[in-house]
Amino acid sequence: MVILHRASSALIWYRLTSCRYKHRLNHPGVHIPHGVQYKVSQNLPDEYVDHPLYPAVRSKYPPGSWGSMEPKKAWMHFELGEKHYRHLKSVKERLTIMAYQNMMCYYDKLDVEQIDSKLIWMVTGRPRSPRSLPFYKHITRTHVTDELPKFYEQMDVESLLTYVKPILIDRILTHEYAQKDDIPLEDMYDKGDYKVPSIMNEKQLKIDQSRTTNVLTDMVRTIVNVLAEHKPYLRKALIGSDVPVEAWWSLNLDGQKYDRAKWHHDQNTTSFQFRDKAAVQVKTSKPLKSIVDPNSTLCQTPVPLCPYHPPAFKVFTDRYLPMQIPGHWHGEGHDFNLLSIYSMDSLYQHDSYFNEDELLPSLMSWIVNAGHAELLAQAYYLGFSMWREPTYPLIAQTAVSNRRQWIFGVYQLNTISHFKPHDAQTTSNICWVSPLMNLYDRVENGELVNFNDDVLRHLLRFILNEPIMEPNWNLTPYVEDISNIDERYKKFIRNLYEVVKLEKQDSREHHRWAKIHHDTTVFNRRYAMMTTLFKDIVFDNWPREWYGRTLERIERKKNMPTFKEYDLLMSVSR
Amino acid sequence: MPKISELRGLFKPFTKPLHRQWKWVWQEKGKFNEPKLTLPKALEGRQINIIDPLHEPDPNAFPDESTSWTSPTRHPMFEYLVPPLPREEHPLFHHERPVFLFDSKAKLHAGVDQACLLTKTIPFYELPQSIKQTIGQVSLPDQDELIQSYIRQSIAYDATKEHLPRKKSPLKQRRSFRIEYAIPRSRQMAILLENIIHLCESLGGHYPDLFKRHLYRNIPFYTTYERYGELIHLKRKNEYVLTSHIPLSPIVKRLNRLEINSGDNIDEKIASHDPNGHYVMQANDYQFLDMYPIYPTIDLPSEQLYQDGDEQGWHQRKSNEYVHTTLHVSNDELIHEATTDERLARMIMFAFGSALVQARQLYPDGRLVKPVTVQSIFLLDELFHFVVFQLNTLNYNDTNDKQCNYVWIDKDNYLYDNRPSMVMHNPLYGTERNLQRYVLEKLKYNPVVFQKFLALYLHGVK
Repeated sequence: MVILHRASSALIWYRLTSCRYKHRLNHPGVHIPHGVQYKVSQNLPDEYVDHPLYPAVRSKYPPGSWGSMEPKKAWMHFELGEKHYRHLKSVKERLTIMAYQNMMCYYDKLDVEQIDSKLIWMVTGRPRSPRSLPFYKHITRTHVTDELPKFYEQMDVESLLTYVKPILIDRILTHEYAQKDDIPLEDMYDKGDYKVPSIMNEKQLKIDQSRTTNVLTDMVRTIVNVLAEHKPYLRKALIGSDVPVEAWWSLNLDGQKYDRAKWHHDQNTTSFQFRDKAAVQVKTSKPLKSIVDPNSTLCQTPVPLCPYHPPAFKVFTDRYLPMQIPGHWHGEGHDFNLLSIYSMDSLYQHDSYFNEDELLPSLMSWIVNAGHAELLAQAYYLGFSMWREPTYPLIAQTAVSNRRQWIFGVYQLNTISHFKPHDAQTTSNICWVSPLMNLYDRVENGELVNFNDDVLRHLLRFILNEPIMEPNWNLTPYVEDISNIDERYKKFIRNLYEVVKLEKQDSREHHRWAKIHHDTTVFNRRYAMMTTLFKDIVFDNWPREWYGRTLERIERKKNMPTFKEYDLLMSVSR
Repeated sequence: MPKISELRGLFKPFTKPLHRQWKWVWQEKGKFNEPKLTLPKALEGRQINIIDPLHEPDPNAFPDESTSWTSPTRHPMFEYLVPPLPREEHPLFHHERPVFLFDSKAKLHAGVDQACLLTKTIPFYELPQSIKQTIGQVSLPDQDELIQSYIRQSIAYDATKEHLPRKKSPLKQRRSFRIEYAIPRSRQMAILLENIIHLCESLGGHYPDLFKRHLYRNIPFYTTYERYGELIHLKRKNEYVLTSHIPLSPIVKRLNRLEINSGDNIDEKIASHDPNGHYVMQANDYQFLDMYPIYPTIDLPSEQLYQDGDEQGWHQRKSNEYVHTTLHVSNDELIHEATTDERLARMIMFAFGSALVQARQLYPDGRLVKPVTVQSIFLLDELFHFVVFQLNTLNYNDTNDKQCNYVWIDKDNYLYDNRPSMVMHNPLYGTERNLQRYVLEKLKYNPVVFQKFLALYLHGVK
């Protein structure tokens, strides 16, 4: 029989590790006092120092202007941004995380996974109700001026105009007059069935839109080709037709009460998603010249609040994967807008066209929407975000047209941190819009009647507005050079972005089905798969909030934090 | 009598929340306050017919006489109740004259040889010398980088996200692939092709004639011709047609077999590329395919519902237009859906057809004074075929008269190599994900194909 002395180290080892739980020394039992029963060494070290070792007391607000936002919230937002930029090296990661943060899941008290994606207000270019310009001004923080900037008029395009005009007229007539449509034999005679007006309208709309796309593409490409020899930026430009433009941003509620569609980081903000297709888009790799100084009084004037809720303007919520797409996926290289033209054929089909005097404001808000969204997405591609304001103003030239009527607009994006309260805003965005003009009145006998040179002049000036070929500032100050990171990390970034690019877009129906198959949405599942495949990278580089559902589970099983650890991690002072 | 607020609880099980319904109604039907028509007092007493511009006419009013009444049973919702009109009653049904239909899906089992027999054409399996000499002569600054960026744009960077059809591999029938949401292949090819065409057009600074060309999209084309008493009807939707204001000059101008007695033709310079009668000698040796006892039309179905006459796809304008190049964009799911031979046969047939229509319009009396030349380009993903067709005769009822058409074929040009595919023995399946990774990371580009394209595009430009 082994006799263990009361103070022997063998006994202590035995009672700490191998005996029955109730006799273990650190067991919170009835008879044994709580806590680990170690011997405390007799000679305490001198713990007094000359200067305090704890961190300095934080200032009330983080750097930047925060207005009337609560200091705690402001710090939360600030640290969100810091975390974002500290851990995510590439723009692709940031875009994926931005999507994931809105689709996040959490585990409730019974460890059941809850899908917690937030409702988003869905916005399109075409406003769905008349008189909605103040609303769109408010949600994009934009001032609108109803004439184009003066410097366009100083550009001389007369010689180019005389050369291009006959070519363009000929090409417009190719589509408007000469081209025959391929009609199936079954549709060539009247079958005597009832033509449902809504179906016929929709068909007509589709035909019109594809024709508009073709005409606008041909016009723009012809002008670009005429100029290509002397303008290298046009020859290398990226031209796309029917390109999707999407942007997501969160907006401060400024004291309004919303019962839904709150952004989950902050109950006082809501978020919007813009979705539309540009009929033609020309992009270059260099930025356009800014139009006004962002410090001028025009930009410093705050935009008036619009007190009405989005449903008053027929803007409704949906579940959607937040995405920033300025026309193409990230990595292409042509990141700066030169010209985007949207097709306005759908305007007359819906209620947004109410009567003549509502037409212009509707088109204005279209240009405001489209310009803002495209530049916002562009800013994200350049490494800016709601937490890092663009360091230089971004410019977009936008037009809306149904190939007969044209309206032009220029947008200057100065600020994108719309999540801050209204009184924290120091700058606002500016939009200049031209009047609505007719390129021609109608097509008669294979000719365009009343061709208007002024419209063509505007278009030429937009295309001839040359970007700054050698900018003397860093265009992407917040993008790290990741050419030297290891191959595996590069693959991780690529795969992660493919989750956004190639997977199914989550929608309202999808969330209903989510409970039935795999208990989650496709995006969450694929995201979890990617983070698990590359878990070495994720564990090393990312904070726990972005682990995804599988890694989260692995983590939880391995080491649940004790109360003590939890207290140490989340100190009360925060 | 209970109050309404008390009733509400009682009816609770029978009520539904109206939120979404209301949203739908508001979205679709919601109108803002309608302005009323207020008549000025000065107009009240007069007998004037007032047209209210602010309101649509009353939808419940009786229809005017011009719109005929259609039975509500003819609503598309009840379409399945109404038997479809028999084909025989179609106004375009030809009861007496059946034709052999050759459409964009037709396959000739003997391929190019059979097509040559049907169109009385002699094939040469290379580009004509005159075009070959111009390959690589003209080039655009950094054209190869631009083309590669177009490839990347069309496959990887375009942000279209559509539900693509399920992919399957014929080599492994049971293999299943994920549903993917990406750029449909028709759009991929359209982006690539339009970019390439417009890159060629950017040479317009040197050749202003290029700006007189027109590009038509998705236009109808049909024509009929007679061969040994059989009518052959060609019909297709042309994806892209490039027209120019001058017709292409013939490739081979001195035709020993061709008896062209025209005054201006003698003065014309003899083509430098065929000084020794190279093509003519080759043509003398050519033997048409002998299919006896099978008719060469065996692969073509008989059809009675068709349109008479010729259709090029556009309305006549003040200045004339001539087909320069027809671009065929294939919509085949897999590359092996048809063989190269079958595709080339199709191209020859349709190139012949458009040359025929042009010849008939230029020489309505049926005497072909000058040969007609058209070009044709086929595109499937990264695969290009080039075809140049020269129409020398309009007589197809007699093979012994020694007057034949010529066709030059340059097949199997791959714009880039090692593309992931569903059918090749390839470590990578042709899924969108693999395609994008291939295009972005290890694209093997072949610059010759664009040079050939450019040579064909600039053919006939002064």
